[in-house]
Amino acid sequence: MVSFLWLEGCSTSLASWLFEKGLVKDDYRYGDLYRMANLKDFRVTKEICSTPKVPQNNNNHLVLAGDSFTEQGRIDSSHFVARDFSYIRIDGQTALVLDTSQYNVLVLEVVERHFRERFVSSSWDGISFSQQSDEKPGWKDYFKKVVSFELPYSNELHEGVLFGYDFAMDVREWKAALNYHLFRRVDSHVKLNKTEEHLLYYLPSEKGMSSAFDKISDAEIEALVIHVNETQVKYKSLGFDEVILSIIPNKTSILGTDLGTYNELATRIQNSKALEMPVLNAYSILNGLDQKAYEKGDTHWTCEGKQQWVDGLNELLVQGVKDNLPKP
Amino acid sequence: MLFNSLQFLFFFIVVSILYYQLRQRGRIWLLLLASCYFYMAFKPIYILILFVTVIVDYYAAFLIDREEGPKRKMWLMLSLVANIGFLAIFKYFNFINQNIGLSLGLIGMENPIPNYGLELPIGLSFHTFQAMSYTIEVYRKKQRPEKDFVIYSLYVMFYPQLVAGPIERPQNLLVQFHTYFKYNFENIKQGLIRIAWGLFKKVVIADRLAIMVDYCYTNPSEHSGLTLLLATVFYSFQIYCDFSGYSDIAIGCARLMGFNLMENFNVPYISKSISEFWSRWHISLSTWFKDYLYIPLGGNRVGEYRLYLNYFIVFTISGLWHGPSWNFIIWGALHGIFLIIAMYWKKHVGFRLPKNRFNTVLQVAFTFTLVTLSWVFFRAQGLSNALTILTKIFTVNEYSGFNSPLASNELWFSLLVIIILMLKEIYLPKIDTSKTPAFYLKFIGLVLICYFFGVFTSNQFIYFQF
Repeated sequence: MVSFLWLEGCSTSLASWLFEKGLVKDDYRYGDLYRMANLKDFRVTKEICSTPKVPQNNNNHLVLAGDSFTEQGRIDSSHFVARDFSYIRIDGQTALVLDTSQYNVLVLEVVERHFRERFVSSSWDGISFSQQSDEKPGWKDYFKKVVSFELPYSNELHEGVLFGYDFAMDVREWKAALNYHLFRRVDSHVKLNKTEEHLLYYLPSEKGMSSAFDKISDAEIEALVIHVNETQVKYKSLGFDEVILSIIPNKTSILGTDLGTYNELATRIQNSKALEMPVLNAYSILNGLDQKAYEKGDTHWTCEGKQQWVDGLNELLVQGVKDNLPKP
Repeated sequence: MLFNSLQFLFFFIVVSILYYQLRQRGRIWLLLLASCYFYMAFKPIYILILFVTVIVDYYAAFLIDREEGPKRKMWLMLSLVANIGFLAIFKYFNFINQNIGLSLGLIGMENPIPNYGLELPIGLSFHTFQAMSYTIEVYRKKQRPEKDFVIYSLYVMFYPQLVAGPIERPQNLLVQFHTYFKYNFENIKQGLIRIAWGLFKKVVIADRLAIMVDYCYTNPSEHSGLTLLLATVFYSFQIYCDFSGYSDIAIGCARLMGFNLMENFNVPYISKSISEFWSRWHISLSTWFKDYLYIPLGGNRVGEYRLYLNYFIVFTISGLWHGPSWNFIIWGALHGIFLIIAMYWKKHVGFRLPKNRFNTVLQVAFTFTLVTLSWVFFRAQGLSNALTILTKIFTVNEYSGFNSPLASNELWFSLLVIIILMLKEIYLPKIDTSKTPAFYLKFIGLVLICYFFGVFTSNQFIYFQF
């Protein structure tokens, strides 16, 4: 029995099977922030979103380079007015083949806290179009694989499988409450805003590249815009008909502004006169929704926030980005 | 895998249960395979280093044993060179190379040899020292070569003490691997309570104090002298609880299976002198250096100034053992200097405080102060930061203002647990487990305290980096 419980942390297949059979619960069901903080006030089941049907009999091919805001499970091909849809990780490298007879649109979706690291030193180059090599992997590749091999185990998976039950979450809440009421301390990966109404991810409150409060000079904004423009030029020359930028504001930037002076990174980039690419203004959407923009116990958007963003993107696809560059 | 992790909990339970289902030979194989798995959980490829040192030293011992004279010494040297060679390559190459580069730069030359980016294999310093201890003891004819290859392999790789000690001697450990320990509930109780106490030190004390220490030591120029002083005192207890906590868990895991590992700490912060401190702190390492470096250098059977030099060499190398950085070397050298000053004072000045309680407290406080201030070099990120911290601590003007990532309640709680720690270690060195119901209460109580008050970040044990 103990060996089996141990194995649950070593095998994603076993964990998935247990989940499918209903033997374990999804420990993210109350949100990623709640999962870390275990504060009772933020234990709210995430809503299950419905997806309105949209017409897809067109010649659009949408390539969405995004992060966890647009990953599978939250967003898929049924959301978009596009016959073909490809999702790729904005923090990875993907090989792609474009059919130039289609209207190919690349959307760069990046959360505000990671925007600077994506574009601070160069343009984004997450898509390659090179042919797959016929060369077989050499001894160097095998050597690298051997050296970097790790035993299969994930602490996060193991904890999720073992302690995803409500009773375990109750116990974790007791611990969190004890530490919070005695020491005013929450998990190091979360932060509460000053009124303690909103649970936020810690990173935008820290100093550094991900900060929502560190001052960013105009010169750096200009440099970031240059790299964003270079990205557009590059991928348009490689076959895309349009490249759209969408910066998703941090939850901290909308609901945690009492923690410091917000550096307005998202709006300064979007509103920059030097920016030459069209923008899907996620900041306006989510700021307009205010407390309804983000899940209570999660860093990500609510169904409503997401749907408004999807609707905005669909509008751009339908109207044709060329004719309807959104004005800042 | 870390001792304070879920993975280790299951590993430990499975291995311990299986251990008591097996006979002697099965147990040895189980422990060896479990130890391999334990080590490979960090980075599998580095198990090859362990295998090579095991094979080299296993055969070297026989070659040493059957020879006499210069050839006997030659086989020992080959074994030591192989072990130290691994340390030199993986741990010290880049440091030595960088300093060569700096030196060449002073005369306008470039160092043609690049640094390389190999990760330090976990526990390298510990298991190589334990392996060297074996061949040296064989050379000194204090230990017969171990014929059983599996048992010898287990001596080097025994998982409770594989990555951070205690650095065992073959006379203690090898004989135990030849012994069949019958199931004994007293061993189970003592093992479990020792593990629980070690976990308490690590997660309730060490990792909590680390929050303050990391906050202050990352950017010391942003903090006042008072803040840095408190952080430095906290670090003294953080490193003690972290390392001794690890040793407690290691000793407890071994004890549960019937094995007795050596004690590694003996309440070091009640030491009245630096000399006494080193008889109480990381005992397995200090005795290793005494037996295998200090005594071969002549020990105290040399003239006065040669004795001072011996101490300086031993402690500087001890500093270097901890890490390839001038900070560690300076830390070690400082302790050497403290000892030299103490010996010189004793010999040439001779003044001693009268023995009474007040003076004992004074001596303990003075020793603790010296040790704590030298920890600044151990913990600070670079020499420049270390000097910044010490300058601020010693500058009265720098004492205005205090900031802490811990709320005041938590600061007081930290102080409380430190007091509990010291009282327990001085007045209750061994938790009584003779009465089983009381044992269950104590064990479950400790575990619950660890869970509810523990700080569970992914903080590795400090001595893993050595």
